[in-house]
Amino acid sequence: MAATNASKEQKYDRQLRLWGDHGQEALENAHVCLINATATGTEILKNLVLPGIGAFTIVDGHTVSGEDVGNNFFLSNNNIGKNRAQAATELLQELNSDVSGNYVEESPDKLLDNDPEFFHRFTVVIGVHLPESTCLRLGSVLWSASVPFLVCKTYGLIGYMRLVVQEHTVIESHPDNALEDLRLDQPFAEFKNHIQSYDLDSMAKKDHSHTPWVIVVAKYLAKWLSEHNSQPPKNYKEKEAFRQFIREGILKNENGVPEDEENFEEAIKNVNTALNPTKVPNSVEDLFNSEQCNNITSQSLSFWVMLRAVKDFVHKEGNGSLPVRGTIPDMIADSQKFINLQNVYREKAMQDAAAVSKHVECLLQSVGKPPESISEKDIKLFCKNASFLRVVRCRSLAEEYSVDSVNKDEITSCMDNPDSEMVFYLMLRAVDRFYQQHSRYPGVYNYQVEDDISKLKLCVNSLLQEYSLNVNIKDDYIHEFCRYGAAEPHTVAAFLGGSAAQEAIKIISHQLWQNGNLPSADLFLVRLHPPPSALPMQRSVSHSHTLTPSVSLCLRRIKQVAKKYSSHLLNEDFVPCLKDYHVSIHPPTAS
Amino acid sequence: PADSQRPLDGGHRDGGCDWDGRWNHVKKFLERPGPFTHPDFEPSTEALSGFRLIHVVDMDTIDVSNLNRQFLFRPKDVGRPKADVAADFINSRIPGCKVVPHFKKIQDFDDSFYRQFHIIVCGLDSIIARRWMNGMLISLLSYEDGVLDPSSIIPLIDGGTEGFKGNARVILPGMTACIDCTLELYPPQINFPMCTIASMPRLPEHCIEYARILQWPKEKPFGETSLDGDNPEHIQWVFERSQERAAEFSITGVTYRLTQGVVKRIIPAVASTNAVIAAACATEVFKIATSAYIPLNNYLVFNDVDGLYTYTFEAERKENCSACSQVPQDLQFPPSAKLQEVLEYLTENASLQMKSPAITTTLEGKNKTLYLQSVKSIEERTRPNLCKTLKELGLSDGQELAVADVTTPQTVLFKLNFTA
Repeated sequence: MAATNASKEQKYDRQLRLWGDHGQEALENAHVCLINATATGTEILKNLVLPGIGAFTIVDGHTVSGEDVGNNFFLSNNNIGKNRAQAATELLQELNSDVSGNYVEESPDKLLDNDPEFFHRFTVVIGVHLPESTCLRLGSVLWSASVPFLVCKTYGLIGYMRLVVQEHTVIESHPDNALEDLRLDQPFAEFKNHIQSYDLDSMAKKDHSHTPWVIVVAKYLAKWLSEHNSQPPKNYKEKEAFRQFIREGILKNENGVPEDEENFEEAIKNVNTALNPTKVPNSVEDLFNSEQCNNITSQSLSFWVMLRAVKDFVHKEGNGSLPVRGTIPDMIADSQKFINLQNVYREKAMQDAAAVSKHVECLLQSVGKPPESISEKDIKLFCKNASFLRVVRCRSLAEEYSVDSVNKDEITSCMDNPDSEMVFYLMLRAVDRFYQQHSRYPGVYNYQVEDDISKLKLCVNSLLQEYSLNVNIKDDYIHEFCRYGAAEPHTVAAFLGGSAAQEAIKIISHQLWQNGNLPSADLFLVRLHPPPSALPMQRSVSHSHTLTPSVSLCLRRIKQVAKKYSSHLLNEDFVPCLKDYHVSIHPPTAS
Repeated sequence: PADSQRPLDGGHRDGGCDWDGRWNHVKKFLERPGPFTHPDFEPSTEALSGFRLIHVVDMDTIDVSNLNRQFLFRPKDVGRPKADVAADFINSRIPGCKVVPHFKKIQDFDDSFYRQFHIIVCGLDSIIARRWMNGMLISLLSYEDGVLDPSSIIPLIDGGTEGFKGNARVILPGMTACIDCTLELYPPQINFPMCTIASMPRLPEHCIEYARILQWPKEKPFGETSLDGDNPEHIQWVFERSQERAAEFSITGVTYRLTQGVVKRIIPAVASTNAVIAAACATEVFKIATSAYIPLNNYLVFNDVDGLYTYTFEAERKENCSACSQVPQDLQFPPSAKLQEVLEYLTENASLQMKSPAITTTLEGKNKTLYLQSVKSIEERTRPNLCKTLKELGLSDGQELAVADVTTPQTVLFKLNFTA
């Protein structure tokens, strides 16, 4: 058992660094359903099998055709005539022995007729190349069962993906540019004490230059407040004055020349963000106000129980603030000062998480559930990510397709530019309509192309009329869609395969964040050829011969360090580091 | 050989292995006219054959950690050359396709090798390698009376990924922006300051770098062997030393995984991002080979961290690009500048980013090496030159310096321009 775990650690190392062990656990407990093992379907599944989902089941009533083998890496020509679900399962299964592969030789329509609850067992259902009627039927079943549904298709050079999930909670959204949680505007007691333990004015130069910028700002802020009627710097002018105030605190040598104190420079640089008031983000406030948060029952997901506990904390022990996050960014400081400061935040975070835990316990008890139902580990993770919690809600397919709730405004405004990607959405809908009427797709055979153009145009017009969409669809697009002849080129299928698999992973792991709040953002349209009017889409990037900001910052730091230590070369505490300063200016780009 | 003598299918037109309907998903794009095709496109119903002849160059062998995304490899293949295994797999899965493997570095081949190809696709793992390939294809260009001969252009399609981010670009050497034209787009890799590592660690990473950079060379735990990130014993040693260091400063967070990540500079990677970028590159190969559509013009970025984001822009050529502009590069220094300063400029300048440039020139009709790092004896011999001024070295205004470096297969010519 240990051996298997060690080798899984090794095999999955590169992805564990992205979604962690708990993310991997979620994947390994997932059972994914793929409907239709077309090239798009198998490419999606490949990117889920490789990272080690627990199991997959392919539902497909088709037999393998020569055409299928031509674009599908997971079918071979000796599969022709056999059931497609079975054939694809074999070659997908062999990608990863940790995964359990299953197949059902049945069309989804039949399953919906006889056993719709079959689909309830899955973590996510991925439907590929489903005719509109099947898609809507399945969508309704999955919506009621709260099973996330990912609808995908490749049509010519167009890729389409639509996420349908009623409510998807995300705890870890790994935001790229998160604001730090430093509480400088409302220092908690332990932080206040820690700040007080410093006396900048009486410090030796070494300590003065290695005091974390957070302390520096805190000290100067305290002075400012006492001189400004407890009002922190608010506008640009005041913040500039505050920065200057800090700058004046930089030690000067015997000639009155300011020393090189990088920590003070950091303090000055961070004034803007440091002065940000601590508050509960609006997105989290919205969650606090939601029905699920305020009405905790025994059916409530742990997400909502924990959220309610955090809300209760905010109104009690938190005094209006979320639990302290507990992390601080790296900053110039000596080891001890940095670690001590870090520990102040860490300990407070633990305290706050413990208080939230008590609230969780109470809530669980009140609905008759044991306190162990939600682990300490989960509560800690939740508290750490309290500012970044997200709930994604999509509209149902029924809402999207209903004449009463179709998103007319969005569609019409996008189509102000007739070459916007929205035209592909409308064409795909028209093509589905064509299929419904003629039981085939337009332009599959060469001789059909010309006649089908006018037939497809009729479908386009009836679609626009039915939804009262006053938009213009150029004939060129109708021609192009007939030209595609429902082809599914492998490279487009593969592009969609990567994109859709990643969305599925986000759903399964409840990490990261998809932009699901706006109807048009549930939808992802990929165009793998440039638009006819090339100019509006392209922007030129001009390259001046100056350094990029990050490179010049880097070189500036070298100069600063060099200057700083040249005066300390005789001091054995400092390593003469000028020639040892590592700066390699080449970025990693892996494949 | 002229284009007409190089069939796209590598001569495998009828491998006798096609079946009914094999090309249905592709032939529609080649047989039918349409409103968005490339202006040069001419529909034809000639028999299709797909891409039959593909050469693959890869110097690596398969590692267990590749298996989470490199789907042509299986646990039984660990240790075997990637090129060989990939070729075997594809040749058996795709009838009629002939992949020829080369378990070599790209630099092991010269222009005669690369000249045979219609298109080159790169999925390299370093900027240096990309620049080298870029330089190689530029060196194959031929100019007649200063005009570029288009038949000497070999398109280069380059893809790269890092975690959930990736990019794909189309380069037509001599015509569109090359790798060096956009060197500044790549963010620098910044390492930790030595003083932090040596005396003021704060993060677990600082402790690991301490063990790697300072303790290993000092204690030589495995004799004269240098630290090998792939050797678990080496990593274990670094891990234990890092833990000790961390304990000394009450720093938490040193794990085996972090140690390995820092020592090997590991970049996270998943199957999905690589699939997207590979698909984008393959689509461009298809477009260029068939003229069915206008290719990507010319740089695509992709990011699926927050939602799904992709953006395409046209990277511009740099007028005086050191790789593709054919303009001798300008070096502006006072005659009193030391050679060391020139060396630093070559390595630190964002548009050059050389690794270990070797500088030579012609003095009194003879070739003279001013400084060269890669051969120990020559390095020792020429090291004193670094402290000499350009004037002392006998260089004059307008002097041409030839600089060789791993980042380019050809020497780069510089012209010395004395400032006051």
